[in-house]
Amino acid sequence: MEEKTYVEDIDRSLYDFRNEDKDAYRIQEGLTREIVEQISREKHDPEWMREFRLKSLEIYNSMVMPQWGPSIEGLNMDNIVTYVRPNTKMQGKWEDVPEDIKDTFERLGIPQAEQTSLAGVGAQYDSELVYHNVRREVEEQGVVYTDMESALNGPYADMVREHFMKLVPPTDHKFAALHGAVWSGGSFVYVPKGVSVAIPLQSYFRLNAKGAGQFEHTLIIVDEGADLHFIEGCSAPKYNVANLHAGCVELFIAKNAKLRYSTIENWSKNMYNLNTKRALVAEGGTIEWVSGSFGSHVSYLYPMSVLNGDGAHSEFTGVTFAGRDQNLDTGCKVVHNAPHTTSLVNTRSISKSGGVSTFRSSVVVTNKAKHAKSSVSCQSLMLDNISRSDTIPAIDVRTSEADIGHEAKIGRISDDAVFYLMSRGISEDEAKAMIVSGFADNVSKELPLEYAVEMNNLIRLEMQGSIG
Amino acid sequence: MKNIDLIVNKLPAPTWNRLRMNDSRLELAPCADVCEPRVALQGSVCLNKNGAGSACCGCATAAGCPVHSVDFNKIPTGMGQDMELLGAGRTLRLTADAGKSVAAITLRYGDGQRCYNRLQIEAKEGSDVTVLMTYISTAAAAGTAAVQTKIHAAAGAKVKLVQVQLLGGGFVHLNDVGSELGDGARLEILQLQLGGSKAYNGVRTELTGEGSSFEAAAGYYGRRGQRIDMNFIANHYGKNTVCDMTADGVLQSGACKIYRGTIDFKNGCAGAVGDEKETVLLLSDDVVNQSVPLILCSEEDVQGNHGASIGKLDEDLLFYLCSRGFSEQDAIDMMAKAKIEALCRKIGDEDTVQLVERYLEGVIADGQ
Amino acid sequence: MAEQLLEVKGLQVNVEDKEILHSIDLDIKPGETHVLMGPNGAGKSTLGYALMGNPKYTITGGTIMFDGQDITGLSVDKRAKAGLFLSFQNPLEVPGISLSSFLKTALEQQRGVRIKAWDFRKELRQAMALLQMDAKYAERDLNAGFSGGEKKKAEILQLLMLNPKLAILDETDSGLDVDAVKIVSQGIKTFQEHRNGALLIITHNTKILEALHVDKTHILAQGSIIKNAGPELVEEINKQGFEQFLQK
Repeated sequence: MEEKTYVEDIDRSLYDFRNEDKDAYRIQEGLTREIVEQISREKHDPEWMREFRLKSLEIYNSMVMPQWGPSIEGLNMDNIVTYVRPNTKMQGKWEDVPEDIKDTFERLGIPQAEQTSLAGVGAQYDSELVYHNVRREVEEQGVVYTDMESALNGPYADMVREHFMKLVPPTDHKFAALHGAVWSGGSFVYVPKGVSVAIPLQSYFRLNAKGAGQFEHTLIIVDEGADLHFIEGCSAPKYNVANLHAGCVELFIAKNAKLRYSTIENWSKNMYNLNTKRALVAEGGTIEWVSGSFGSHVSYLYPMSVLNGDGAHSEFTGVTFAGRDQNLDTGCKVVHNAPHTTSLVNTRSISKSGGVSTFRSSVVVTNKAKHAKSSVSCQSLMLDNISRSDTIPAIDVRTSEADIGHEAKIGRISDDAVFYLMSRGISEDEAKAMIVSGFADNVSKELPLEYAVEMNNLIRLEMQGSIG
Repeated sequence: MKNIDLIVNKLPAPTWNRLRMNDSRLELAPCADVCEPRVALQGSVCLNKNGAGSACCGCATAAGCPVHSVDFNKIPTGMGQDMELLGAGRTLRLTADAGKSVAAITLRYGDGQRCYNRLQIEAKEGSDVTVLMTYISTAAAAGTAAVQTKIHAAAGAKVKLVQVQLLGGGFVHLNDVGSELGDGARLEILQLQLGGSKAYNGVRTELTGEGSSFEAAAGYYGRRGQRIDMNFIANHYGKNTVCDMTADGVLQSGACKIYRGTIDFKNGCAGAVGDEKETVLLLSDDVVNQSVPLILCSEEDVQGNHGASIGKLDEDLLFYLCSRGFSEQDAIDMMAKAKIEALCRKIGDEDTVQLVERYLEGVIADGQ
Repeated sequence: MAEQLLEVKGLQVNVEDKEILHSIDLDIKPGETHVLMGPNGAGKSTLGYALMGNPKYTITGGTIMFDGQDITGLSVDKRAKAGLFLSFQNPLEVPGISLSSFLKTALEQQRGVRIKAWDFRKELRQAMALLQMDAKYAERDLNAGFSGGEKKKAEILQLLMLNPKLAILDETDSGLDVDAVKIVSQGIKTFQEHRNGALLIITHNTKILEALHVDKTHILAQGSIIKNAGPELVEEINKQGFEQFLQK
C-alpha cells in the first residue's frame, strides 16, 4: 500500500468513493408535516405508522437541542434530505442489484463476507434496503431476518407494532423524535425460543446521497433461551456538506437469551452521527455490545442496557478513535433494575490530530437491584498536544446491597514501550501504531477475525497521518 | 427580605440533565446575622478585620498596601459565582509570613442564626501555615452557616486548611473554597462534614504555579436524610503540577450524597499528575449515592487516574473481622468510624480530634 | 471439660452448588497439634473456612462440636469468642484501624471488660518482640501495606494476643523466607507450650513443623481424609510425596 504522509492525504480510498446520484426518488430538503406525510405515502405505511410519524414530528418540534454534548451547529435540518430511494427494489440475489450499487458493496467486501462467514446479510443504500438474504438453514430454524418495511406489512406486523419505538420512545430526545417521524429502512430480526444462530447476521448501511440523512430502524427480538450475534457496519463517502445519521436500534432479549451486537462505524467526516441504541434484557438474559467508532464528524452514541430481570447481564466493550475534525462523544448507559444484575464496561479512547474524544456514561442502580454488581473501566490515550480527551462518567446508586466499581485512566504512549519495540528493530511509527492497536485490543479481540483486521487497518490508517 | 435562589456546585463539563447531577439549586433566606469568629493565632500570622487599618500592615487603606495587594475577587471558588448573591458577608484576612504559624478559627452558631463569613488567607513566600476552622452549634440548632474561604499561596508557601463541620441537625451549611497556587506552593485541605441537614461544599484550586501541588481529603458521615453535596475541581495550568483528591464517606438512614470531582489538565501543564479516589460505604438501603468523577484533558504529557468503590463492607473483610470475635454490627460500626478517624489522624491538632471523637460517638450511638 | 476439644462428624461442605468436602471426621483433643496435608485443590482451606464459619461455605451435612458445644450453625464471631482462631492464608487489609487498637478492641470484645492501656501495651510489646516485629507496626493500619511476611507475623501476633483454645493455621508458612519461618514457628511453639493451645496446621511444607511437636497427621485429597496417622507421616510425605497415598 502506498504510504500517506498527511491526514489530508488519507482519502479513506477504501470507503471514500461516491457514486453518481441515480436515485429514483428524492424528497425535498427540510422537515415539514407535508414531507413526513409524503414519506409515509411513498413507503405505504399502515395508518398507525402514519399517525406515529406525525405525532413524532410534533414532539420533535417541541423539544430543544441537547445542551451538554459536542456542538451540532453545523447541522441545519432545513438542508437535510430525509428520504432518498435508490433506483431499485429490494433484491434477494446480488446479481439483481444494480451495477453501481453492487459495485459499492463489493468494494466494501460485503458479498464476500456473506459467502464465508455470515448467516445472513442486509444491505441498505441511502434510505432503503437493496439486498436481503438469509441462509436457508438459518431460515429453517425459524429465524426471521427481513427489512423493516416488509416486517411492518408481513406476518410479524403485530410483533413490530408491539415493540416499535417502545424502548426508545420519540419523547426520549429530539433526534429520537426525528427518527420516529422520518425513519426508513433497517432490519427486523426474530430468533425463536431456544434457537442458537451459529454464525452472525450482518446489516450494512451505506449513505451515498449528498446532504442526505439516514434513519434506519433496527428491531431485534431474541426469544427465550435463544442466541444471536448481529453485526452492523456503516460508511459513507465524504462530502463538503453535512450528512445526518439518526438511526435507532431496539433490542429485546427475553429470558435466558443472549445477543451480541457488534458495530464498526466508519462514517465519513462530514457525518453527524446521532444514533440511539437500547436493549431491554429479561431474567437471566445477556446483551454484549462491541463497538468501534472511527468515523463521523460529530457523534453522540451511548448504547443503553436496561437490565430488567433477575440476573440479567450486560457487557459493553468499546473503542473510539477521534482524529482531525472529529468530535466523538461516545460511551454507554446501564440501568440495573432487578436483583443480581451485573454489568461490565470496558472502553478505550484515542485522540489525535486535534480530535476530541469524550467518554460519557451512566450507571444507575435502582432500589430494586439488590446484589447488583457493576464494574466500569475506561482508559484514554492522548497522542499529541492539540487533541482533547474527556471522561464524564456518572454513577447513581440507590441500594446498599450493591457493589459498584469504577476506574478511569488517562495518559500517553509510554516512551519505554516505544523504546523497547525500537530496540527490536521496529521503526518508531510502526512501534506507536502497534501500541495503539494493542491499546484497542479490548475490542478487536471480541470481533470476528475479518472485522478485527478491518479495525486494525482503520487504526493504522489513522496513525499514518502522524508521520507528516 | 426576599429569599435568594442559588445554583451552586456546577459540574465543569455537564452531562445528561435527566441525571440531575449538573448542578444543585437551593433557596436561602438572607444571611443577615453576624457571627463573630473566635481566632487564636500562633507564630508568624496576623489578622485583619473588615475594612482598613490593621495590626498586620498598619495600612490606612487597602490601595497600595503590600499586604492587600492580592485581589481575592479574582480567585474562583468551587460553589461558583452565585455565592456573590449572599452579599459582602463578614470578612477576615489572615496574612502568614515566612515561618511556621497556626490560626485556629472557631465559628459557633446560635440557634436560628443565618450568617455569611468570609476568610481570605494570604500565604506569603516561605510561609507554612495551618488554618483550623471549626463550625459548631448545639445538637438541635437550626440556621444557615455560609463560609467562603479563599487562599492565595505564593511561591513555595505551604498551607494546610482543616475544616471540621459539627453543626446541629437543622443547619444548612455552605462551605465554599477557592485557591490559587504559585510556583512550588502546596495546599492541603482536610474536611470533615459531619453535621447539618444539608451540607454544600465546593472546593476549587487553580494550580497555576509550576510544580504546585494540591491534596484534598474529604470525609463525611451522612445520616437521617442529610444531603451532602460536593464539588471538587483541580485545574492544572502549571507544569509538573500534582493533585490528589480523596473522598471517603459513610451513608445511612436516608442520607443522600453527590460527589463531583474534576481533574482538568489544561493545555501546557506538561508533566502533571492527577489522582482522584472515592470510597463510599453504604449502610442502609434507603440511601442515594451519586458520583461524577471527571477527567478533562487537553495536554498529552499527563497522567490521570480515578477510582471509585461504592457498596457494602467487603464480605471477605467482614468475615476476617468477625473471625476475631467482632459481631457483624460491631465490625461495620468500627469500619465506618475508622474512615473518619483515619482523616482525624491527619488533622494533627489534639483538641479538634477530641471534639470530633466526642461528636462521632453520639453519631454512632444514635445511628442504630 | 469434654474429652475432645474439636469433634467433626460427617462434615459435608458446598461452595455455591458444588460439594467440596465429603463426610469429614476429625477429632482434636485439648493441647494437641494436628497437621493437615494434601495436594493443591484438595479442600484444605475449605475445611479451615468451614470450621471458622465463612458464610460462603455452606455446611450441607454433619456436625462440628467445639469445647462441648455444637457450633455447626454458630456465626463466626461467636465461634471466635468460644475460642476458635483462624490464621488466614491471605490476611485482609483493614484501612483506618491500627493493629494495636484493633487488637485491644478485639480483646475487650472477647473479655467483655475494658482493658487498661498500660497492661495491653506491655503484653503487645512482649508478643511483638517474640515475633521480631518492629514496634512501629502497632500503630500502622492492620495489614495495610504490610509485606507478605509481616502479614503472617501479624496473624500469629493476633493468635498470641487472643489466646484461643484451638488455632487453625492456613498455610501460615507460605510466602515466607527461611528466617521468617523460624520466627513464626517460634511464635507457634510459644502458643503450643506455654498456653497449651491446640493446633490444626494446614501446610504444604514441612519446614515449619521442624521445631514443633506433632501429635497427629491427616491427608486430605479430593475432599476426603484418606489417611490418619502419627507424626511419622510428615517425614514420609516429605520423602515420597502424596502419590503413594492417592493411588490406594
